[in-house]
Amino acid sequence: MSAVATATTGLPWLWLVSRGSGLVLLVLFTAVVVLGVSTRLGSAPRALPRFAVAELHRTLALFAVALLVLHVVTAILDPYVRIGWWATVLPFASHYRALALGLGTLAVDFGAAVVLTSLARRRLGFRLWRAVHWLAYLSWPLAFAHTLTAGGDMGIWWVAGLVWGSASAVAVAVGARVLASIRSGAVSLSRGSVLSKVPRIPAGARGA
Amino acid sequence: MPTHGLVLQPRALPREERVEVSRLLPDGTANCAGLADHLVRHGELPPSRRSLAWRETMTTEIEHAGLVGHGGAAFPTAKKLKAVISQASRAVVIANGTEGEPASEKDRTLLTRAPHLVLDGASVAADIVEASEVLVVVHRDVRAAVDAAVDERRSAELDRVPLRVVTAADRFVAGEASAVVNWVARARPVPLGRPPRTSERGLDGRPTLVQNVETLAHLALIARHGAAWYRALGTPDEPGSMLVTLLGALEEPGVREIEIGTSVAEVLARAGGPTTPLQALLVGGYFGSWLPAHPTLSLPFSARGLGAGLGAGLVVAFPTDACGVAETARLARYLACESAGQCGPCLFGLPAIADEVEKLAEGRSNRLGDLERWLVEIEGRGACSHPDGVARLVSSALRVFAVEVAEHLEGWCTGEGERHVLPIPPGGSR
Amino acid sequence: MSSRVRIRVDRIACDGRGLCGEILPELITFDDWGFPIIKENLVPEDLDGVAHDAVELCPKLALRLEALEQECCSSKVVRTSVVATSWTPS
Repeated sequence: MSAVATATTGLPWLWLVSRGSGLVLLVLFTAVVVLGVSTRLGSAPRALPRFAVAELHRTLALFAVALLVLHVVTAILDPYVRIGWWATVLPFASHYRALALGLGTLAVDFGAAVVLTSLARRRLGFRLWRAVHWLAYLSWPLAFAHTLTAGGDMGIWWVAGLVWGSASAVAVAVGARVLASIRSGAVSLSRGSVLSKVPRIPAGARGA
Repeated sequence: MPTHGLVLQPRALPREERVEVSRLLPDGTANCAGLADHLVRHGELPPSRRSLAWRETMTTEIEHAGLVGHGGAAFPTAKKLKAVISQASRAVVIANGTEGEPASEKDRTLLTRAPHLVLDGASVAADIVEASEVLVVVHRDVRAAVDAAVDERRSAELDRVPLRVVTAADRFVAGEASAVVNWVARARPVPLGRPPRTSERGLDGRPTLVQNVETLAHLALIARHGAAWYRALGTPDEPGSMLVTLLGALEEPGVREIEIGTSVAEVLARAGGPTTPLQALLVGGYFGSWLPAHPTLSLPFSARGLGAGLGAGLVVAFPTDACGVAETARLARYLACESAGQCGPCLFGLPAIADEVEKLAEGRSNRLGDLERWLVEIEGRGACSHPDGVARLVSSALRVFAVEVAEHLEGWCTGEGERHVLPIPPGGSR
Repeated sequence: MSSRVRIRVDRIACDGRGLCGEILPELITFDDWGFPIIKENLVPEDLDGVAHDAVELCPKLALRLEALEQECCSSKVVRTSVVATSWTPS
């Protein structure tokens, strides 16, 4: 089938779509992470209400899942490389570039856990949902490493720009998140959980 | 005439002959701590029957008696019993003697001077709801006394259900029903938030009857003498007697038992009367209401008479030479610090309210409008009723001490702000 | 007899994230610290879908909807059952 495609146009479509969708996926995944952090921080621009940020986070995540299917299927169908179907869920199981693809598979495994628990989160309860959601912070770096190792178009300036731009965006988002939790830890310490001595009303209350 | 196996012995004396009420507490300063003395005074508890008919009869009798909770919320006891009975699983009874309110002493006094009345009530309640266990949660000051009473009962094999004593946590909110359950279950004396109610799912997910120790003591007397006897004192809407802790500018402050509906002045007279002229009274507890001395002193001491809940039975006689605004500021700060810190309105709203009342007391308030708005907004928005109590205290202070508030806004105070009337535990009471 | 829902917030789970008031400004407003004030907890029928969205989107799963069954003329609530909740007993 793809041989026909190549023959008619001279372009390896499956391979192109697979790699192209991979790059778009990285950008999408980056956006999802940044939006997710921003919902937590409440730091979205004023033009965008918080519920819109939350909805966008979900919508983009689900869209990314759809695009991921395309990315994976085209990669497997592509006759130039031999990747078995099992490699989609079992990391490091393919013969072709085991490490590079394995990283991608791991990213998908963790990402799938995040997405599935999110879809069922009302039934699972907040604590379980939240615990699994932390895997997102593992999934993104794995996807990034997969991009660097399995990607290979870094010589093209705009590809490199998108890839490193994504990395910076996530770094800033995570940095802000870490700072925020340090600060909120300090706030709760100074507030109600610590008993302060009852202050004496100064004598200035008496007389004019 | 006995209609349901209960022996009713109405013992109501004609009004003129009544001097001191001594249903719960023995006369004067006598103690009824020993089991033998207790049995001489009250007689034996009528035996419980393990039948549905008996349980229904008892619940109906308690309902007719009009018994309500004496922990602060005045919730009808029969209603709570029915709620627990209606659950299918094995119930637990918790006798709540935490007394988290620092100025109140009635529960400790009752547990020291008449512990067996409380334990009788817990035992009867356990039989009514078919509980498999009774936990007696008590203030650490009286732990030894209650342990002794429980040991006596165990030797005499008095109770069908085992009684287990637990020392309460030392925190203001620790006395709240779900906080007691949380304390026993997880050593965290903070409320659990509304649904589900403890009567449905409490300790270990079992239906849990949490009753103040005074309520159980009344229950033990109703089991002996019936509803008609109970109603012989008090008012038609608020029958019976109750324990009050009388504090402040009084000759002989302390815990007394009074008939509900007695005039406030008479109640204060039981503590020897005021030592100096009074400007106001704080009724209920630190979560209660300030009331102006006039006309309150001539009103009947009942929720209906005063237009304010009787809460945990605290009555503070506030003298004219003290500063109500300063006192309220100290209370508000204490209550803000005692927040469980679990919900936003409490964690942020209470310190803001305390800040502003302090500034008012110091004569430099600039956000009185905001304060009034915060007091309205915070009602009903906490995980428990702690913020509501603070709102009630401060709102009533702004009303009752309106003249003083106006003076403070001008920057001066006619009272002695340094004069502390109310006891507030120092930081670190935990 | 109408089948309406009441919106309720679990005050301990709530963190003042603020999404609910953005989605349902007709029913929910905020105090000075960003925590919700439910002005009216009975959800009008035309806002029913929006209320479900709010329950779904709350980041702390702190909202729930309770159905009022058999609300009769004396507006006495006979029974409530949970219609949609993100809150689970711990």
